[in-house]
Amino acid sequence: MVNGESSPLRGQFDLSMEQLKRALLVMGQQVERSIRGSVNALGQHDMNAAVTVLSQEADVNRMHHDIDDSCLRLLATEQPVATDLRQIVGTLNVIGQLERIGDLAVHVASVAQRLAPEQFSRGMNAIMQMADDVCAMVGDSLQAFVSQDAAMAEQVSARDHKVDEVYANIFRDLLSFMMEDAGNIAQASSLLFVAKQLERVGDHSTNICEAVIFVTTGKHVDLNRA
Amino acid sequence: MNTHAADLPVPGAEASALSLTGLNVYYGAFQAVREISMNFGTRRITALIGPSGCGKSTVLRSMNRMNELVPTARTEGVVTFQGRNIYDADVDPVEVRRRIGMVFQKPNPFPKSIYDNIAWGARINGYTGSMDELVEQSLRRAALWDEVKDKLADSGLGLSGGQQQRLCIARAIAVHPEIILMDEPCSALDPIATLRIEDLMRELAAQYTIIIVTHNMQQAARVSDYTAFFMMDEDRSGYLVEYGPTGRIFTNPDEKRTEDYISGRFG
Amino acid sequence: MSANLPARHRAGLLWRLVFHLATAVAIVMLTALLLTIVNRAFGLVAIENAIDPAELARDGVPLERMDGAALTAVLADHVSRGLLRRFERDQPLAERGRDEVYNLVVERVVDPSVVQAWSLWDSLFRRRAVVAEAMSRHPGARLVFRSWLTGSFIADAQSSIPEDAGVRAAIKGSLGTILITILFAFPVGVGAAIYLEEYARDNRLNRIIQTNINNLSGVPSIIYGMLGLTVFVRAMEPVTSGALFGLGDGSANGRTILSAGLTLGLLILPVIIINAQEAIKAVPDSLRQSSYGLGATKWQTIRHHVLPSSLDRILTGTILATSRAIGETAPMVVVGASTLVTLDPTGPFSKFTTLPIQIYQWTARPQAEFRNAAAAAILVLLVLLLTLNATAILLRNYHARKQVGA
Repeated sequence: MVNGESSPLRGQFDLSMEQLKRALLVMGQQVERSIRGSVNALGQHDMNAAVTVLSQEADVNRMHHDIDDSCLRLLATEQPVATDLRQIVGTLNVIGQLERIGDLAVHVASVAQRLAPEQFSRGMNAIMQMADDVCAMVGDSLQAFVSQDAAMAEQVSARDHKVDEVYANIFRDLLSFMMEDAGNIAQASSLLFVAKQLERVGDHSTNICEAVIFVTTGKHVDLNRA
Repeated sequence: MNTHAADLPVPGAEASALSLTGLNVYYGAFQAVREISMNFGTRRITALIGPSGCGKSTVLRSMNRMNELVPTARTEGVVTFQGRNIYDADVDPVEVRRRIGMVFQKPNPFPKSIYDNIAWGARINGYTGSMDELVEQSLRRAALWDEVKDKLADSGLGLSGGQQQRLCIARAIAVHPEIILMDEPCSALDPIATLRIEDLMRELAAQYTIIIVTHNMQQAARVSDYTAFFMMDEDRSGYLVEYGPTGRIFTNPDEKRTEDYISGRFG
Repeated sequence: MSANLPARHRAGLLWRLVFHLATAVAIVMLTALLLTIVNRAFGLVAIENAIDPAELARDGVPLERMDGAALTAVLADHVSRGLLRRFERDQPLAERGRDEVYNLVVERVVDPSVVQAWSLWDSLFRRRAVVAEAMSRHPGARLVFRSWLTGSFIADAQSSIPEDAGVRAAIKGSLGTILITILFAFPVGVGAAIYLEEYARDNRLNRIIQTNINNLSGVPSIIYGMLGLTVFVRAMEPVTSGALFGLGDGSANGRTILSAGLTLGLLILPVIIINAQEAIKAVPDSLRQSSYGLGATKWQTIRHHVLPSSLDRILTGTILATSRAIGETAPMVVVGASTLVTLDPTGPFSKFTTLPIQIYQWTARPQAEFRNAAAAAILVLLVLLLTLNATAILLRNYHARKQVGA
């Protein structure tokens, strides 16, 4: 019967909501780039690339604040209800997750900076693999959020299990590497730290998927537990 | 489709002060509302919302037989109040209206003194206690006493719009009703006066069952415990779309039509 | 964009002038009417005495300074013995006061009479011509300025001599008639209006009644006179003549104040009903609803809210209708107002005359001087109307103030 999307009744508000989604995607892409850039800097021993990622943190924070302000303005002036309300509250949640993912990228970049002169003999391939997985998760969970696709969100969050498995493998591998020679401990523990950061990126993506479920159905679910 | 909401349990599963069963109201050949069934929780505020012409005022006015004042109106169905159908032949509508009071859209004090505005209803209903006490008590409950206590002999029409509406509420509670029906009580008031009335409604809900028709969805969201959403069908007859706790209706309604209406996508 | 603005202003100005003109015409007409009446009610008159008072002087004492006994003697010399005996029978002359006897002498012996009257305009601005005319046509007459509207004009009864004629009986007749009119038409009219507005359902019968009431207000008043003649004077004679109650002298045959009042009541009833209906319609429905919402019955709502809120409009209409009724002549003629009533009405079952009838009858008299009396009577009628209206309006305003409270 009445199609909310095409109705001209709240044209301006709908436009604002569209802009909000676009800003969210832009922020997501930036965060994704930071993760990939930090891991690449690590893998290619590229000090400059690591510095670039560190400098991007300010951009991510600025986007976070801009979107935050937009949400507050819409809440205060448009008094959204129902799906609109959940969409905005969900956006506030998602940008929080993205901001923390950005922080994780910074952690990885500073490790890359520190380890740039060293050669890696173990674990790096698996870490690159993990980075690919979590970056895809971030992108896909955001896509599910803006298109309000609950099924996609559940499917994306399911991929977190694989990330957790890869992390467990890396953990075991680096542990045996450390036991082989105490001299490996410094490097291995740093790489382990990087893997942990990437594992947490996966968790934050899962949180974004939970936000998708909340926005579309109004129900709070805990996908990490599943 | 519209029976969906009627199948709901009593909202909040509380004792119900009033219930409608299969209510149909006609104006001549035109059916204004169709098959309304719902319960109203005791000492709760229930808001009736919906687009203009969806019959929510008609439903409200059928609850104390005010509809009968329209010569062509005809009501079918059962309105149960304290175990009786108020439309039974041996029920006096005058008594029904005394016990189920009403506050109207436009503040409409009598062209009498503030004192007489309160006292008149009690007097015609045969109140024998201390009139001064009743006037003070009613005005206090309507949060108006402090503003008018020194000018009780002045005309009620000399008050501001918001004060007039509180005077009308005081007038309504002076005859000790059990239920107060409010038909868009704030639509003629400025936002501050509106907030005062809303505040007052929350206070009155401790003692009275309040049913309010409002066009202001923020008001329904702010003030009510339960919200019922009405719409009209192709024949322009009003029907109940969704009825539930206000918090749920305004964050996560079941019906797409409710969502579209409360988020301003049609109306 | 504002190319036509001057034209619009011109059009507005033109219409304003038209409205001014309409008002001016109305004011000119009213002034002309008033001036015409005043012109006739005051002015110079030529008075001729049957006997010059100077001739009546005895032993050098002029009439004005004679004592009672001397005046009685003058009277005895100049009137017939029969008339003298009648005076004595009414009250012995010796027992009457000196002034009373003096008045009798002036009236019966000197017998001044107005032989010609001039208008106020002529008296003020063409005085020389008036004097010349009076000298040539009435050499023996005195020329004096006379106001036809005097205290005695109001206090005296009707007379066949213009300068002695008064309107006391007519005033009392008018007041009595209008009292009955109000007592009949107001409650019946307001009652009918309440029924039609508050109780009557919208069905064919009530629509027919409504249409008929609307049409009746346009029926010429003479038709109401004929209705009154048929119903009140003829058919209900036992009631309207008072015979049924053993009252009234029976000489009126139903042509009584009661019949006249009821006829006028019928005449203004449709107007009162329609006006009261409009007044009741104008009461906002919200007032009724809030009354019902408090558990008031229909009658409580009408009694305490609808009537008080509409009363000032109802009264306004009633005042206007009553003013119309006071001036009605035609139905009074048909119902049978007496043209020459010298006795005051004593009650609702008396014969009567009213001011308009009196005026109408005087203007039809052959003596020109009655026209002056008619002009004076018109002034009395106007003053009476204004007084009644002013009283009613004051009452209404008092009520309106009380109603609103502060």
